[in-house]
Amino acid sequence: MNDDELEAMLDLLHLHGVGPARARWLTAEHQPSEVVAALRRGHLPERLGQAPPGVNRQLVGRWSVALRAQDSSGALERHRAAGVEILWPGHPRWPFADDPDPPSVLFALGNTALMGEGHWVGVVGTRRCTSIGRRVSRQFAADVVAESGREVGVVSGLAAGIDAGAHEGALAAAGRVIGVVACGLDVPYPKSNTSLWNRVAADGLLLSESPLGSAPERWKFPARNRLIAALSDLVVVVESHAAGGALGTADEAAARGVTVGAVPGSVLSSASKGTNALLADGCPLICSARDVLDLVGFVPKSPEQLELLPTGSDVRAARPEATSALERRVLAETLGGPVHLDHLLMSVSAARSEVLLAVQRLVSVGMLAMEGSRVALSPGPPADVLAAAKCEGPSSDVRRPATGQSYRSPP
Amino acid sequence: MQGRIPSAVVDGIDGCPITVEVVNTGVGTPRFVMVGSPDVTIRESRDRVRAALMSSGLKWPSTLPLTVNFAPTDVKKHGAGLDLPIALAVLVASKQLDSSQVAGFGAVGELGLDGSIRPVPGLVSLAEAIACDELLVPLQGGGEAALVRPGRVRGVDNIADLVAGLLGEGPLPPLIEPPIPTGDPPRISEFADVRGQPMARWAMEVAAAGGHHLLMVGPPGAGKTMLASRLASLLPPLEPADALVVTRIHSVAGLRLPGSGLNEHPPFRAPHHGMSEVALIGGGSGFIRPGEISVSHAGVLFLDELGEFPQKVLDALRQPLEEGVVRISRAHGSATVPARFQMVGAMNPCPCGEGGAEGQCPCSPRDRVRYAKRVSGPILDRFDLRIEVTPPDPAFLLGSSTEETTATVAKRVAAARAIARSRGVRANADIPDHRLEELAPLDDRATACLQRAMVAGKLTARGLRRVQRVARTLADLEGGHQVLTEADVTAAMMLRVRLSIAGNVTA
Repeated sequence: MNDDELEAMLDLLHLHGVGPARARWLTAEHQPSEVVAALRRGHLPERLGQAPPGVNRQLVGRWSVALRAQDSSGALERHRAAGVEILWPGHPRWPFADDPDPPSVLFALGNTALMGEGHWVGVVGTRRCTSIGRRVSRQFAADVVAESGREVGVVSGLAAGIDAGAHEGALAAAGRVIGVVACGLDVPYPKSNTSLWNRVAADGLLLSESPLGSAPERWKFPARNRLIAALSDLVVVVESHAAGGALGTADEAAARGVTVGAVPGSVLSSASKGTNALLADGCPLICSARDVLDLVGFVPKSPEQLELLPTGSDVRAARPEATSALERRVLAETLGGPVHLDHLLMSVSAARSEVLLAVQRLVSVGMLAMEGSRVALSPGPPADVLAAAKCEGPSSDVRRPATGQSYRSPP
Repeated sequence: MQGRIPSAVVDGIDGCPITVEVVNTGVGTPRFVMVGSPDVTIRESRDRVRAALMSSGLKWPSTLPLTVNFAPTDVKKHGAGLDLPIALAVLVASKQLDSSQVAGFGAVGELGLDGSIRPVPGLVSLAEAIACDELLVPLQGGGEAALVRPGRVRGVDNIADLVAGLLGEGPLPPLIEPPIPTGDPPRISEFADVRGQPMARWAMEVAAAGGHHLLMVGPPGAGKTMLASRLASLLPPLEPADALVVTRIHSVAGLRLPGSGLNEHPPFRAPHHGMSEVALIGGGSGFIRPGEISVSHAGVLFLDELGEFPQKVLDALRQPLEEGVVRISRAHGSATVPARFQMVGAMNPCPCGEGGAEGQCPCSPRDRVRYAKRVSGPILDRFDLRIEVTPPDPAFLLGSSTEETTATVAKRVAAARAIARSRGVRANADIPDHRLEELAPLDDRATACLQRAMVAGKLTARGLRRVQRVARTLADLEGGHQVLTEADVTAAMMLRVRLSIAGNVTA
């Protein structure tokens, strides 16, 4: 598409009531500029196919009025100024070549070359997730990235809850990330995800089929889900309520022959009703990042090759020799899950300030993360450092309680 | 014949001198008129005075046209403390006493119907304000007045004895000696009872030593209330000047003063979250009462269930937290009341209370964020120390404690406070921004450590200054080395964590 056609396409997409299906119908036999010209004259172009439901004279009249009100909206210029790349069917990087329901154009912010490489896993789920679901999505996304040496990337929808967890996990492990959003690329939604949104744009790729400035509308979210399914080699539903939107993503994936896996959950948890139903329908069970990699068909490369893969984050350059004995002791304590600083101070026999300094160093090199007063292993720390920590073994200090109970917090 | 007795009413926490004048106008029908902006509590005093005089064998001048005036007129008068001066002035106006017999006396006190004299709130401030040679006050609570007018206060038990004394028919009421500070330790809640929670213990010690505001987040049963109550016992006794201010505020608030009459120890107040803004901040209609923040002046204000306080009430704390005084304005006037308190907050991590632990808590992240948002960012930001507490392992609660006792820790706290005072600040939490570089210099490694935290977005500029103050206190607790080290700032950051409940809160 040349610039004039793109400009006309943007004008069409800005019209109220023009979504992917109507845009496709309008431009099936005509160039966008012809359609715009015809509408400005007050009628639809000749020889259009069967009109989709809901299109009537009044709607066409409103489109005409809206298009006549402005000669050219200058939308293309605005998109280019914002650094947004526009892809269209036939573009060398167009990812939806064989898709049954492709967008008319695709707006991209970030590294569009990402789409061509490696495998992609869609990690999706409900916005109203449990803390476990959030943790699982974060952990699995990070592990998938780390264990595949960044070969497998993570696609999600940048919604609250599971989606956000998936993006966070993948970014924390310096993985390849795509966020497919429902509104304009300059309208972060939900607002609480703004910084995550910007990180995905900076370190990965943000995609949308809506032009800049488009508000989040209800119908756009299910539409966005089909793009996640189309981009993925596997869709993992982490948590979904009985009639959740994530099930829509699963349906879209099934329609495209993309495998859908589901993470099992408690039968008492409403947020796992949908995923458990998927499992009952015969979806593969996802219990670890390993399951994900097997389903994607990822073949681990030899250790030498893994070593050569860029890790993307130089803070992970820390090696066993760079960590002190005390730091390895601290790491060893965290192997079993997050521990409270109280626990560390009591189980590691060293001066209070020394222990805290060790924690601080491990946090600053990215091996540990602080969650409130708790210390946890950060997603995907270097395997050799972990191995060294495991050699330290669990704590056997005298200050263990006599009952033999662990006081790993929380109890 | 005119009776004239100096007295006073409470205005804010200060006394406002009032002259009570009663005059027999000599013409007109018998009456008893009060002028000079009395409020309803004072209008009632006519009936109390009449009953008290008649039941004490004195005469109520029912045949005289009497006018009672309270000067100055523009001050709104309230309270029953003017009963006694009204009674004395009436006795003079009705010639039962001679004006020479009451010359030089000021008076304040509420009358009972049987002629007994009852204490009134704010005797400390009232005694300060009344200009006279000797002051007649209720015997009960007279020690408060004697604090500020040693040797010139007489404690009156009932009006019959007083009148007899003034007439020379009996002894004058006794002079009251100012109470002697007992130096008694307060009722101590033992710090060694806190076991298995080294970070929490440490945070308490630092809070006590530096006067830092402290927020504890943890599930029910984690010991938040127990920890907070221990904090007061770690604080050093009040300075004499503070003790008097605290006593005055407590006296005005109508609180019972300790046996010696003087508040020697920092107050500890734990108001319920259902309290109104007026009860917390002070105010009220008619006359201005000190609120909880003033009652906890120079002490600890413990806000349990911080998330349950209405946001409006919490946000009203911001100005007093900043300035150490609260300015209250009402239609009848305004008052500035001291309110330099140490704020200790406690809240659950999430609506269900369990929080933290993965798999234990059914609250969704959205519920948690909503819960965290009940406390506004500016209030969360005021806390120099923010820790998460978890229930200690039961194994640590059995057997004898090996933790340090209150006496040991309080000694370290007192030493650290002395170091801070030698730098010219009351406590490290009060170090002004412009003196931080001078009083809390950082070595290279500490600077690099803070820079890393700021670049990583874990520390804001304001958070940096708070961390620096806490690090100063940590150094003072270790003997007061001048230049702060990496260990100091690291520990300070670990004692001021980003709360995992509040994803939106940055350090």
